Amino acid sequence: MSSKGRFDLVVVGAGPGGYVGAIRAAQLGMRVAIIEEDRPGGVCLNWGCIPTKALLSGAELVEDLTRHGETFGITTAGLVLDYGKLIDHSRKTADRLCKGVQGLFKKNQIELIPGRGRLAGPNSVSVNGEVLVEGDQVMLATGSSEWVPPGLEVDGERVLTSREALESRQVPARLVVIGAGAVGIEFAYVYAMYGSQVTIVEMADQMLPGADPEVAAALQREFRRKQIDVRLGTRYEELKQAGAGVTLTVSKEGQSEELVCDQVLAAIGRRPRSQDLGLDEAGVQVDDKGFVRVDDTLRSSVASISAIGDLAGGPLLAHKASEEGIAAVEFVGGVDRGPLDHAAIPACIYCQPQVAWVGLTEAQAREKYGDAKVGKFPFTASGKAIAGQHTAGFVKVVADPEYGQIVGAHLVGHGATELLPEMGLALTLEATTREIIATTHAHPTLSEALLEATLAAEGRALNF
Amino acid sequence: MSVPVLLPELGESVVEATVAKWLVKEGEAVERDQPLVEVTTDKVDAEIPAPDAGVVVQILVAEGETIPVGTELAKIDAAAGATASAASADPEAAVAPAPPAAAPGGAAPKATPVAARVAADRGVELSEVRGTGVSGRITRDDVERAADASEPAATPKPAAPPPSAPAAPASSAPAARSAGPPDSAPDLSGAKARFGYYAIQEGDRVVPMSPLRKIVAEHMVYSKHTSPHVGTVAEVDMGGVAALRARAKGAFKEAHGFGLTFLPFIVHATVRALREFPVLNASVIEDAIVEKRDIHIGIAVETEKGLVVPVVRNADRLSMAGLAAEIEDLSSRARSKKLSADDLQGGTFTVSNPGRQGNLYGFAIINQPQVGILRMGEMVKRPVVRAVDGADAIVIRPMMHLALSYDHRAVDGAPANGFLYRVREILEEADFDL
Repeated sequence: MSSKGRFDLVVVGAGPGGYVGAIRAAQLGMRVAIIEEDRPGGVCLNWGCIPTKALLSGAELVEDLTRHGETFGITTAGLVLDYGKLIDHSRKTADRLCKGVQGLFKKNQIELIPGRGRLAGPNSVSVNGEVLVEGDQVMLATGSSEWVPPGLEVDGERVLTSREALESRQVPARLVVIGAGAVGIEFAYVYAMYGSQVTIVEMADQMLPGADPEVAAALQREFRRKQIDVRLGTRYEELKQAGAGVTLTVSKEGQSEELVCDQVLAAIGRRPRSQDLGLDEAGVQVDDKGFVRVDDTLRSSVASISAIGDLAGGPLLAHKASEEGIAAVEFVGGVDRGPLDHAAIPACIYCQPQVAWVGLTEAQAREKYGDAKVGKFPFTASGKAIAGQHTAGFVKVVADPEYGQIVGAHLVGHGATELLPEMGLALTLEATTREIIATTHAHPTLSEALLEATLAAEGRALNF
Repeated sequence: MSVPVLLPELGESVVEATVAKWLVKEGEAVERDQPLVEVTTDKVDAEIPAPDAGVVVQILVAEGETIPVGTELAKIDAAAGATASAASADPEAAVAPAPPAAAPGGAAPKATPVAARVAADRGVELSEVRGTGVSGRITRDDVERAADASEPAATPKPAAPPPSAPAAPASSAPAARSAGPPDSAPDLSGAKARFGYYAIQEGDRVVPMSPLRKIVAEHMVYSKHTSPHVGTVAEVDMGGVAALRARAKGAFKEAHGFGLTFLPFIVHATVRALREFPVLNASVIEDAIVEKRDIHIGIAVETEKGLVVPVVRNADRLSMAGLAAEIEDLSSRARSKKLSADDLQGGTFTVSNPGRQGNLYGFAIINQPQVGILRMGEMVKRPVVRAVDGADAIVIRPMMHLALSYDHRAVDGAPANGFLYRVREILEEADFDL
């Protein structure tokens, strides 16, 4: 095996955790190598967050035109949708950003080593079994991959995961999406806007398990309005190929039913990419789900090896991985920083209406503080929302009952994901309703909804 | 009949002491003179004995508390027999809260909005809270921890009814704190090293600093901060001393009842050299260098509880045998913890003998308010070049390094080097009157 020499830090995986961590390490003066078997940027940039946002932008435009075009004086008769072109735009978006990441590596003098990395010891990684890369520290950032239940064979034609869907140029006439998590919901919305008849099957009794139930219920109402069939408490049982189509057996409360469709999108979950990484031989412990066990400085059971992002456990979100990549490097580099805080990690879903939240749900807050101050403001009362015809949804602010500390915010509506950061900052700074109320919110903006909801939490709503 | 146990006078200028460890429990029967409690001062550790036989009915001062001389520590019921129950509760451990980090530049401490509101509500002084948030900001958790810590779980009088706690919302009222074992580790969750971040992990051993350790730590930092330390090392041929000691040690042991070590020779040489270089037997007081008339030599001794430095008084007036006897007495009392506070005071220069594993040499930290400390290295046989019958030859000699740390405020290089050179000369001449 040839050698690439010794680095201060060797990162395995150039996703949003690994590449950001690598850049932070380079900023701290470390010599860094990063190993990637696919394209720099990881699932997020190539096969997840970014390319799906391109698809969702298209879907959003279609919905605005078809649903509200008349209102704005735009006639959409004869509208032609070419989904293949949308896929092209999605791939180009990913390509452009992927090149951007490679440029960042050059700029920061990070050595990108293409190939599959595997631990060869506490301080070394072999690439494709051919090249040995040694490092004082090794950071594992291999992320996660789509999980498919046994019996569901992904063929890229009838049965897809998000990975295949991102390259598939066809819009199926009838689509069943298994799983109403973020991925399932976003694809359901995209395909529905481009003409599919979509059914979502979800085992839990709400969409987006983990979201505030009121938010999930509002989203479900909006999906029904878009003719998307959402079936909750429904379990996938079996799949049969039937000629050109697929027959899916599902059950609800013991009652079986067959759903006939042209394509199935499995969006059930993800699992950590911890197999064949050489973890066992190196002595790195994983839990029963395959996530690498780490301490609160992200160090694994082997002192020189850290693990971050999806590989180190949930929530499986790109921004959580980036935060951890930076933190792991800063802990090693002796940067005077606070501990890693997962309490204020935001969650965003980009269908329309968008869903975004941070912190505690109303129920969690009542559990923790015995009670909660809760304020809501519907977008139907927002001048900016009415003008743009985006009146679906609401903002909900949750504060602790005694001091008014903002402990959670739950948004469903047109600009939800871009409105959320004000509330994230409030959580980080431990702001109270007073500080939000004392902040002038420009008029007219959707962000006034945050102010109004906060006022409502204190029983002093002005415009509702 | 109830007999009070008072904190006695522990020596000249000792006005207060810290309760380090209770050796008995409430309800326990004790003999007269049985040690009840260990106390620590900045000078000395001591055990306080029972003034009478009886049963300990009440412990009044919790571990970690500092109290003035004369304070009542406990009550003993002298009439109670040995039948008394020993089932009473353990004394509660009162863990003193960590001192807050000073706010940079003396500015008002930064707190998050909700932390400020909680602090006002629960009566917590923000300047006394250590911030663990972003940029050292004081968070709600920090305030709540401080408020909880000052609540009645830490009361020093376990038998008394707990004073009423400041009103706290039922939902966030702290769970009743159980009294930990006396030397339980302090809760370091959220605590922060002054520089750098380290989160305590499973498997780490957290050792609370003993009162003595804290005092030592404070003095070390003070000394390094106060005196610009400069070091100089001499290599001393101990052949002459070794030969003298070998000839004399049998008779010495017979005459005095203890063995003759090398340490008295080093101390004696030091004292003789100090007389010639009085600037090393000095203190910096305000803008003056005070050269002292008397020479009192501190002897740094390692004990199981840490470092102590008993003092040989008027070392320049003692004979070699007297010096050896004094050193022997002090070090044996140091090891059996029988030193009085006065034994530890008034040193004007210190000799440190790290013992068999002292390694080649090392620079000790000056024992304030002195201006010098001499540290002995190991004594090892080495090949050295000597003139034998007019020709250079390699001979084997027992060699020792002596390292002097001196305070450059008071002492310049020339006298410091001259002093150490003189110590070496005296030792190599080996002219000691046994």
